[in-house]
Amino acid sequence: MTSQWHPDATALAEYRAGLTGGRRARRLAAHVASCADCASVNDQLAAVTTALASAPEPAMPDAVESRIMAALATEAALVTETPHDTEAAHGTAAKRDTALRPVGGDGGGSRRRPGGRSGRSGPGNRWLRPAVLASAAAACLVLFGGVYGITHLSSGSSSSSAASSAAGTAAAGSESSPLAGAQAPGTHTRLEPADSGQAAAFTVTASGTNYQSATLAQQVRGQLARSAKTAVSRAAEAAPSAQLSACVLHLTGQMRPSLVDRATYQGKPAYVIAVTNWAWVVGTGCTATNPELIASVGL
Amino acid sequence: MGPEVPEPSDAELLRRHVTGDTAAFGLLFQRHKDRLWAVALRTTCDPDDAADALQEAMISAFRRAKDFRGDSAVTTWLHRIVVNASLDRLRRRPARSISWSGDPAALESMLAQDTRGGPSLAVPSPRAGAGLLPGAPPADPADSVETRLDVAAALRLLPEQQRAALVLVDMLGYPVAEVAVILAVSEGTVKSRCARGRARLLPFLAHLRGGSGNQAAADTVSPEGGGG
Repeated sequence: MTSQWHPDATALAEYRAGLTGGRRARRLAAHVASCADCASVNDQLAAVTTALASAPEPAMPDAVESRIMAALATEAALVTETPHDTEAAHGTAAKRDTALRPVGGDGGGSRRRPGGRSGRSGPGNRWLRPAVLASAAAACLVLFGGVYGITHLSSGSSSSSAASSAAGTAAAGSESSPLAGAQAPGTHTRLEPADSGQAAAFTVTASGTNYQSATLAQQVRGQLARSAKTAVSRAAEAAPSAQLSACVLHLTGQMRPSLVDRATYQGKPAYVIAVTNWAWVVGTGCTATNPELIASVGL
Repeated sequence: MGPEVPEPSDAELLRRHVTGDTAAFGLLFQRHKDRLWAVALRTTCDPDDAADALQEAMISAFRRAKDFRGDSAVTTWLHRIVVNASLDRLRRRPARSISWSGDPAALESMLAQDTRGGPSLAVPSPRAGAGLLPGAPPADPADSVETRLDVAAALRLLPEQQRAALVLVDMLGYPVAEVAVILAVSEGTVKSRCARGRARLLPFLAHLRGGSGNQAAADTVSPEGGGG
């Protein structure tokens, strides 16, 4: 066949996708059958699909997973306790909500009013109640944190068994942690709402501790006890940067932390952040939007 | 510790989340995280944008779970939210959302910016595309396909709607019918976007033919450099 006419690649691709009908389809089929060049293009189109299909599928990086789990834990804490004042009390959540509205409109559900939130939270408290919020946050973090805390810290075990046992651990944790949070008032580690001028009302110690995953909770408890004793004359303290402050308050759900220690974890520079019943290890580049969560543990 | 219990279904986890189980949504996310990450990363072509989009999507899904009506699979619903968040992220960052007009000079400058973490990219000669013009016979593949792009780089050349369709259908292997639900368009539109996307990528990808040829793609999409 010496026809001057050749279909372009798009026409062939549409034909291959079944988008071409009737006489035109028959004409294309006949042409491809008799034109080596177009038969080659036809083969190459198949090769494009093969190349795309065989590209390696990337696994989610741990840092992204940690960050999203932390965001979901924060979200769970907010939804549990603060049906109305959430956005006012939590700047990052408010920003995310605003940002999401255009995305959310056609996402498989009906369009929701801005700020519309699930009504399952019960009667609304007009003001945040720190101890309750802290314990709710801690409970949620036990639930969320338990999953990746276990899967990440005991990397030797198989992930499926770790995940299933995490559910049991999380269920147990949710029973006890609210009590631990409620015990906070009266000690030096009392939790205060960090609104307005108090947002940065914590200092950063530099204990030099090299925290280890196996002994993290123990070491944090020890550090909390030490810093309580030497509360008057703590030498190595500094005010946090705005970035660190935002990161810490994001993790703690805007609660004042009991400990922010610039130290090392498994030999690498890290911040160890603790509230009464929970501790986080984050990278030194920790921000509110990317906490760089390395590990977390109940105390 | 406890006795083995069967894994709850996606729909069951979502139902538990709606009724106040604070762990359920995290488990749902963990279950599908790699697939959702692949969708976000391939659609946005940028690890930072992908992470932002995925986080927004998961928060959105977390909040809107009770609006899920069960007329599609939970995974389809999640994919739809992730794709929407990814496309929205691209629209909000026009400087980093790249699609190729077809002008080789524009492509050259575009790829010159794309130096992060990837191997050097060959720039196509105008001839690579010339073989596809209507009326011109396609040249021999060995001549016409001078451009060697890996998959991740090539995807950046597509308009975002074509890319989203092609990622879901060809890369991740979802049925056209499901992709139509995810993208909220007809099946014919999905097929059409895929066909045009394949034709557009042909000069750049046909040489790969699967197998070991696209090892470079893994390097290019490595998110290691994406610290914020």
